[in-house]
Amino acid sequence: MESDSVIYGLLGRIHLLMRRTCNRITDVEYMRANKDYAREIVRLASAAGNDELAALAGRLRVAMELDAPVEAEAKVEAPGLLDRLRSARPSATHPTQRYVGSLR
Amino acid sequence: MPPIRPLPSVSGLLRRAAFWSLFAAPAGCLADAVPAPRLDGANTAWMLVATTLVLLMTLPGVALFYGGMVRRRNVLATMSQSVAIAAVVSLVWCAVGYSLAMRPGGAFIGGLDRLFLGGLSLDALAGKAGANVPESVFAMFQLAFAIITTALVPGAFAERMKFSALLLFAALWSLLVYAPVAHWVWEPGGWLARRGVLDYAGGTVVHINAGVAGLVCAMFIGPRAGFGRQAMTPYNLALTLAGAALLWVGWMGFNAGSALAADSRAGMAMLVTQLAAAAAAVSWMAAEWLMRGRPGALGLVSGAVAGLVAVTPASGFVTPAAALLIGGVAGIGCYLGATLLKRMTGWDDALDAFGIHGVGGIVGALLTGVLAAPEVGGVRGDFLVQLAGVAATVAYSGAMSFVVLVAVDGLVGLRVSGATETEGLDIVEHGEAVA
Repeated sequence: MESDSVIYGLLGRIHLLMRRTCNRITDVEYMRANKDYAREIVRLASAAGNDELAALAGRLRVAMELDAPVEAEAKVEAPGLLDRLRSARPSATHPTQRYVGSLR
Repeated sequence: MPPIRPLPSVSGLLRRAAFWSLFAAPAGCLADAVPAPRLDGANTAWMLVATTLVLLMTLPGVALFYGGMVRRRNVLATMSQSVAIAAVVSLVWCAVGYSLAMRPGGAFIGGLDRLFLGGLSLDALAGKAGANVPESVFAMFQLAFAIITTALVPGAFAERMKFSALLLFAALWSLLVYAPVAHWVWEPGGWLARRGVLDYAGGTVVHINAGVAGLVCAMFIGPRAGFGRQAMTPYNLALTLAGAALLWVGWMGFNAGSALAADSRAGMAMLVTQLAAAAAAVSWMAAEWLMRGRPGALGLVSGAVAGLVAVTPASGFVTPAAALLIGGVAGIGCYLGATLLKRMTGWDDALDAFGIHGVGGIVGALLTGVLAAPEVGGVRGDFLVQLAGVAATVAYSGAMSFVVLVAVDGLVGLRVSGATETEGLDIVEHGEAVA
């Protein structure tokens, strides 16, 4: 994983471009802290149709190693009831959807 | 020969004269001989503590609770609202609010004998008969309620009201909405009190009142830009947890203090308050776990607050078992109010003032009618009477809050500009920002 300064540099540029091109506000601190949120923003940035934004998203994906945890998480089995509940509702707790239209 | 009686002495004559003068004295002089009620030190000490606890719920309880839930650019503005409301409502309370709310007068509004707290002498007593608490302490205790009620309302219209509008709204709302409803329910001559509506510590006066007003505000002002499309990530839920913890602890003064005395009923009120909060925290957590797959920290404290809200009207009337039931129902009810109901209606009740305080207050008020036990509060509840009290409060609070909003909108304008909303209220309205 890259250093914080490199990652924050990328996050800041993505934040600005997302705001200019998509009118979407991102939370830089939360992207750094939560890989799920960062992955979703990277996905949106890649699909925004802006070459510079897509390139930055690709660099961030490598810098934060966003691809690795997805595979690791997919291998985790959910043997218990609570784990099955959690895995059955991934979108309900996803950071990009968690706070849309409702706080709680 | 009869014995010769000695002549009475001068002092003996004076004693007899004093004795017979008692019977010849006018009634007013007799009344003067009855000792005036004396201040009760234990009750007064408890009420001083309870008042401080209730004030702590707003400063900094509500300020932290709300401040952590808004976006980074509106944190200072949101917290400042709680502080500003505490100041404005205190002045209004001193000028006329206390007199209109808590003094005898008509069925709908109190008298004007305490304008600017005139006539409130050092020795004056008020509150529960026989508790003998100074009126100054009683007025301050009630002021803390007026402050927190008004401070709860901005949770519904967070992140989009002008600061100037908020100040004016707080002054007018505390005077025109809070004071009359408090008089109806808590002053013995109030029309809801005379009809037997039970509201021990403010389920109707505080929570339904604030929740409904908040909902009307949210509908009147309209949703935040991007509501329903963008994620509105809270700034720092750790602040919210700290605020909720202060609310939970402060609520002991809120409910147990409403006994207006340090007695067994205050003790029972404190116990049922804790139990209802615990039951609601667990039931909200269970509901969220089931619906969302994991229990959130915000959900945990929201559940506790929901239970505290719901047990507020019941706290001096119910048994511990009933409090557990109230808390359990309130946790699930408020969870649905803050999630399902909110999504169904589409109203941008930003921090769920109605979802928690409105729904929780209504649940608590109605359950008080079912669960009030004569062995605790000396009265039996009546569901229909409670329903009438809820309906009257919802109707009055909703209508009068609308009138206040129209007036404030006409005078200073309610909503910040779109640019201000994007930039953030902290910078534009206050010229400051969190790091």
